[in-house]
Amino acid sequence: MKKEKEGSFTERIWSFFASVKLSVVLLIVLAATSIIGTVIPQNADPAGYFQSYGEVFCKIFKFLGLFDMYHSWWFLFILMMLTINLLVCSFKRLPTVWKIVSVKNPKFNKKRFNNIKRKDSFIIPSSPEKLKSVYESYIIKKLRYCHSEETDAGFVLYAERGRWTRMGVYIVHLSIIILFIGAIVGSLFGYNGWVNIPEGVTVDHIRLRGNSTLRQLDFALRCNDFQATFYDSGMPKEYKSSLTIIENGQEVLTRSVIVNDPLRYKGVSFYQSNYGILPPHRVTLKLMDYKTGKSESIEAPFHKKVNLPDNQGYFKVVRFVSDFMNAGPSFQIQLLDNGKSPVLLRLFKNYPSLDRMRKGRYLFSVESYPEVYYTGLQVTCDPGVWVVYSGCILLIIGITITFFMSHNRLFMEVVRDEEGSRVTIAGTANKNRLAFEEKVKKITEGLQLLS
Amino acid sequence: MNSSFLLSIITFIYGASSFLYITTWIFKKPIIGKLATIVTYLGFLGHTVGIILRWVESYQMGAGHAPLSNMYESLVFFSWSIILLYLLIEYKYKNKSIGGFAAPLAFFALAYASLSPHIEDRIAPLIPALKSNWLIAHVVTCFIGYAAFAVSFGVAIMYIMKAGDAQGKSRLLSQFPSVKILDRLIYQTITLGFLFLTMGIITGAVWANSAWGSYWSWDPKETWSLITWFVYAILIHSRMVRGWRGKRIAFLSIIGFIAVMFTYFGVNYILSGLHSYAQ
Repeated sequence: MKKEKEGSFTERIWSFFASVKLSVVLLIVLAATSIIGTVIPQNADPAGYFQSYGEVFCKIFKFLGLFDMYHSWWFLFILMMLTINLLVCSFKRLPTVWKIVSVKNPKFNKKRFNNIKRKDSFIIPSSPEKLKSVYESYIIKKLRYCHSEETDAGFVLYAERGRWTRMGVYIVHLSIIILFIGAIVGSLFGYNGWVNIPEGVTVDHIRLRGNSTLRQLDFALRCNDFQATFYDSGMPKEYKSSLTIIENGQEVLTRSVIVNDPLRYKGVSFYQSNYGILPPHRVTLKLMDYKTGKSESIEAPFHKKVNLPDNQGYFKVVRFVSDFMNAGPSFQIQLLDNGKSPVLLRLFKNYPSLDRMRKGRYLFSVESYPEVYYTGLQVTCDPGVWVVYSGCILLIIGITITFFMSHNRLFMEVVRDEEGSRVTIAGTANKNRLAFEEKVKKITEGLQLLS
Repeated sequence: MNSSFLLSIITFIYGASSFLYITTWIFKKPIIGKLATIVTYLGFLGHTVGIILRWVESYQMGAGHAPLSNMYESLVFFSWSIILLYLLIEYKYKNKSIGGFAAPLAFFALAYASLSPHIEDRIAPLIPALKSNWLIAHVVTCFIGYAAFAVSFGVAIMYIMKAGDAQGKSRLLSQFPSVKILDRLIYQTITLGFLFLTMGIITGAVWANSAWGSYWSWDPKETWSLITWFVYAILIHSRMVRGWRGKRIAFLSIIGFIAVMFTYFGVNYILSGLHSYAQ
């Protein structure tokens, strides 16, 4: 008794997962919930969330995992349910379909022939014996498989094409499972990170996304050069880094990397992602003496006292901002003119005369500073990507088979008649029946011309 | 004559063919139907020339890329695909009433592209992210898919109109193909759209992987294309396995097309994400 109950319980679970109703419900739930993550920005700055949604909603959303919903437990749970559903549905139906597909030498089936409503028939002044070989060779050209048998009254013929296409839908479902497997392999054994490399510098580790921990690479990578080019309109044209792979102290590979053309080495891919200019360590300033009208260039390292030309005080470069208030690069300078209270100057590279407003003893302006670019690379290792791609190709093939190919069958009965032979033809297809009926009509017309 | 000007003329030709298709449907004048078809063929020819001309112009400017890189160019191609698909259907089914529901969609798409002040019709060079051989494959597959869904949407509306008149009293609706044919046409265009949408999503994923190192990042555009895919997957399963036919399928086709439109426009204008250059 107990055993039977268990059996019925597993059976109930089995039939729960074997229903297409469940697939439809899961697809609806996936479609509906996926909208949430397109409205709430994903993995954004927590402070921004607090500002947009307030404290209470922030807590609720966080609890429901809505800030990273596509990786939340409940979303993954729905995907898992769909996977099980897909597997169970396929396992349930596959044996029946396999039975049909695996038939080796299908023959004329009188019952099936009689069941087809629409039949074409004509009389031809030729004996069945003569017609048999002629018709066979004609039909095999049209449908690939043909089998005929002699009967008391003449012969019967069965032809078909595309029996295997009944497997199309299982190819689609299998390909989706393969996609999921590829995605899981990628998330378990792969990683995703970034690295910024200044020109001329070699690195052997990257920073992982998410937790920003360091990850050692099996080789070192040097950025030889970075170039950004622009169209006349100011739009970016190309970002290009020249990279060299160094393994065991030896240069193995040197290549240019641009957007859409990553460097791949030993399963790790480097993508051109962004770039920037390193903050300089020194700057050359121009000091114009208002009294004498003479200018002097002074090279000043950061955070070091530099004497003014008249030795009546000193200044110190304290800070660099690459783009201050959209006004371009700027330097902050502490100025201590003897006998005056210290002042903080902000000098803009692009506005050299701005310091005039201060009405000081010297007019400070930025003459030059070393610009060293760094290239920003996205680094990924995804051993599952080829699995995903195979799944994708299989998915396209599967959909094409499922919707655009069908199992077509043609039945023919030839009976001896007073005037020769009476030929009756009927055709069926598991999909797109009307198209095949038209084809059968054409075949019938073709057969009438043969003799 | 430059391509933008030619394409704005085509807009008016499609406006005329929409008008003619609707007229032949309402007034049952076969001669107008013939004229509608001729005008549409001419429009389609000019449209094709316009696209090729734009391609040539971009090379003459030194920008050198297929005309599939921004909102304007995608609308032009979308409209072109709708007309192509419609002409194939007209040729196969010999029924011009469908034109009254398909040609206006192509007209609206092209009119929006040509006349909206928000849409830039100048040829611009490509930014680094768009410089890829996947650009053509991705945009072409996506928009053929969208066009198939658009035609399916038009036919779905015809179905709902026709099904509302079960007795066949309406003189207007007698011009429509039978409900059986309409039902089949909805489904056939959806399966075509589904194949191309799938290819569009996949080519997009492969492209994203070569540009950003990730084939799927749940960006709003990606997610909405997947939502659209789910909607049509639901429709296909309801029909194939649960045997849904007729009105239910027609309604699902309309919902699907709303999802398509949101993926196309809504995501660009309302949501933000990686796909923003399509604006």
